[in-house]
Amino acid sequence: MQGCMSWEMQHGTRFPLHDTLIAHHNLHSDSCTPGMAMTLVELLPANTEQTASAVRDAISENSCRCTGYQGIVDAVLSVAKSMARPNEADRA
Amino acid sequence: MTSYKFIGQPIARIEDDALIKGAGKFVDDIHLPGTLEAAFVRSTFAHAKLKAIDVSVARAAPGVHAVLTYDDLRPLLTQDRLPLELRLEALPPNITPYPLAKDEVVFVGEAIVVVVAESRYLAEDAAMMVDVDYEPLAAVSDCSRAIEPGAPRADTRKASNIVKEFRQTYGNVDDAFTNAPHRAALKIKTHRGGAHPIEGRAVLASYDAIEDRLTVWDSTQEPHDVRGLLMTLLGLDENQIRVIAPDVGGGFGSKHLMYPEEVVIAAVSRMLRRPVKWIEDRREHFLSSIQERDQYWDIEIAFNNEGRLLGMRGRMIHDQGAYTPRGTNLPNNASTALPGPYLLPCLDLRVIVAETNKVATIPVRGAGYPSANFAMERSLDCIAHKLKLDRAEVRRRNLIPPEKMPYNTQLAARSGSPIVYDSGDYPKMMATSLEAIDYAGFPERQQRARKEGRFLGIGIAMGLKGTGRGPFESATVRIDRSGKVSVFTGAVAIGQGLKTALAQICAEQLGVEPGAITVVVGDTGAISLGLGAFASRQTVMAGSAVHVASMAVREKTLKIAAEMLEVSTDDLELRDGRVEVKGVRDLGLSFQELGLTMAGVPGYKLPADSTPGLEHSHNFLNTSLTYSGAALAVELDVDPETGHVELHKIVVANDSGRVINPLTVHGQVIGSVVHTLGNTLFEWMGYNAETQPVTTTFAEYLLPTAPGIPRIEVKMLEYLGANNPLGIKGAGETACIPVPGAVISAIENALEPIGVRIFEFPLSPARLFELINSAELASGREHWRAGA
Repeated sequence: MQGCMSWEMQHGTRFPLHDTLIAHHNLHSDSCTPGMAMTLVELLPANTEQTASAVRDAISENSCRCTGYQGIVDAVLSVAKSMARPNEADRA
Repeated sequence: MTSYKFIGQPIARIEDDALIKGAGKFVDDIHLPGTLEAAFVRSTFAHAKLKAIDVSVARAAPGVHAVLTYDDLRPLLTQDRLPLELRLEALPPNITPYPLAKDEVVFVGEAIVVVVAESRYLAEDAAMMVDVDYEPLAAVSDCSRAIEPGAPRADTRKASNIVKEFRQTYGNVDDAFTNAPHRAALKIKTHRGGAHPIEGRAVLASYDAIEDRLTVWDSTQEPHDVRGLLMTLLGLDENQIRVIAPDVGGGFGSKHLMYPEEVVIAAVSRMLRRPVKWIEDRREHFLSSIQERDQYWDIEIAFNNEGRLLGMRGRMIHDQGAYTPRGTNLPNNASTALPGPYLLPCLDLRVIVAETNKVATIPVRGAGYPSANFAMERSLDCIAHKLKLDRAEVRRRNLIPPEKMPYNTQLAARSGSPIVYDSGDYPKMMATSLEAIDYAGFPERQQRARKEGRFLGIGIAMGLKGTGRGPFESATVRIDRSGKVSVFTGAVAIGQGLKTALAQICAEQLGVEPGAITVVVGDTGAISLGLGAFASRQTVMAGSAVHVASMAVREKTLKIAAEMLEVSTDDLELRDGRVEVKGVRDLGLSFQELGLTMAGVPGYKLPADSTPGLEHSHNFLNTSLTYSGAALAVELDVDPETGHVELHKIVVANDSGRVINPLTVHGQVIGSVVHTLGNTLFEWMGYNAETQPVTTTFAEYLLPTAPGIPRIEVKMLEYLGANNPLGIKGAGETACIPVPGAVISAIENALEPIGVRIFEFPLSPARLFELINSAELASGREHWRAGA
């Protein structure tokens, strides 16, 4: 989980997807998670105005056999929303 | 209705915190000092005699510790071939693989030589230096050709290409067909590729010469079976072998088998007295892990003027591949799953299991059901087409009505016990999916789309899955001396959220938070018996075992506490790791105090003259399956210029009985649908005329990726299963079953103006384009006119 760890080192806080990926039930077997996180850690700070299809395009090179991708998309959208408006609690 | 505190709650998985921090422990994360790594030399021919193998150069290569052929390996083993799994089935002899090819190779990828070196790199370098002298033989590529007289033998050591023939038959088919007002014949070909978990197979064996014990970390769905098979092959006692399935990065059926590589790595570790590791790469998964592949369904249906099925007969040919390592439960499942949720008064299906020169087949997620369901759904669409009836209406008329439940299908499972659907309201399930996709409003949407020149289609299908296969699963529940609650089971976690579900079931009885419970799975050192992960069984079977064992521990804990506190058990409650007197704050005993007390003090009686410990073990027994169900509806566009299919909307009405965790079940349903979308539209395991695999990378074999998949809407229905105390049914495979039937039906519907009929999956854009062109040639209608 290089992505999450490097985020923590740079920002001093937990990678914002940490809890949201869990809440949206994304890990399943976990074997795609490191690759997904590496992609998303780049994607998120660059653009917090995300649409579902943009997120799907962004992870198009990451294969996952367990999740069907839906939870990952939901988690990213939910985090993007809370990063854009950091003071609002994420209720997704 | 019983109300639950933890069961049915969408709690976050207890597995996830470690996993997301990168603290997961997969086989390749385990680094033992002195570990050697292995690579295999694999057959480059689909069928050949092995004339000679020269390993002398490889043995002298840098960093190489051992290079073994079959002849070198055989003295380390008790028998020539791997034992047959599912061994109670009547099958011909000599159908299982050798641990390394002996004298003949029968598929591309069959392991011939193992090279063990300081690193995988050095092992692969040395493997390149092995010189194998092959004498090529004719190969059998297609299972329908394999059964023809004069077809080459897929394996010259066997008398026939036919492994097994059997019939699924009930009712009077001849009468039904003689008297039927309508008949139709369908020729269907189904194909499902490999399992392709993101983590492939992986094994690390470590022989401890001081203790004379072997520990094997194995990415497997069946550690207890692997232990038993290694015991037989290595001639060890059961207690000398411990098999651990650590974190497993998905299985989907491919790890429900002990393969030659596991035997070889274990034997070599014992020989070299060093830990030896082998991690399957993706190419090896394409070549040497099981697949599901081809079935040919030639069927005839009889039906009446109302579109009700009167009978079905025909023949199915199943591509078994080159060996039969795990019986023939895949074609058996497929043939018994044929009726699904529909009333089929009689059936006579002949099944031929044929060998080909390809890697063996055993069930992949869905286990033969999606192919059978496709044959049935195509039949129902055929009836709708012939009688000009609405497809949903034809299904409504043929669905088993709820008042007929439990419904005896007149078919028998492989155990011989009757296949009985235990619960469910199938018409309501279908209606739920139709409503969610606005089926009633579809004709208007389609008309509008056609005016815009778009080919919009809708499709529906319904599948059932026999889940919770027995005969048993094990569980031990314990409150130990530290007050900690632990669950041990022979079930195996391969990514489903099993530990969380079992913790929720245990927490319900013992009143601690699920996150505070330790769940130990997939370790033969933790519990003596277990069957593992397959057939959507674990929450049903292990969940029931944990439920029963937790109730027993609860009862004992209350009894002991009542005696110690001198109150009645009715006055006590379990809360946050304590037994407390109701309504009296702080009057009670902690689990730790109780655990210590029940560990005993020499010379003193235990409270309530009880047996020691706060622990209970239970093997939950069940030989009847519990039937989960799913109705799936899909709306899509087809571009006849390119054959491209654009999925717009997918809805699933899913019944998995009592849902223990809605979050994980929802995830299983979505994952299941997307897996089989891959099988329907993308995944093709191709072989050329010489039976050389032609799709051995993810550039050639396409997995579904995020952009092509629409949001999938899940409607959860709960019809409690009848065969277990909590009413649980399986969840991991159900929703994958109706996918091919629904999607192909929708594509046909979209292309109605052109008149394309489809009797196969997967359906690539190129193949669909071909079908569109031939339909246009045959009808003289062209799509650019038809669409307008």
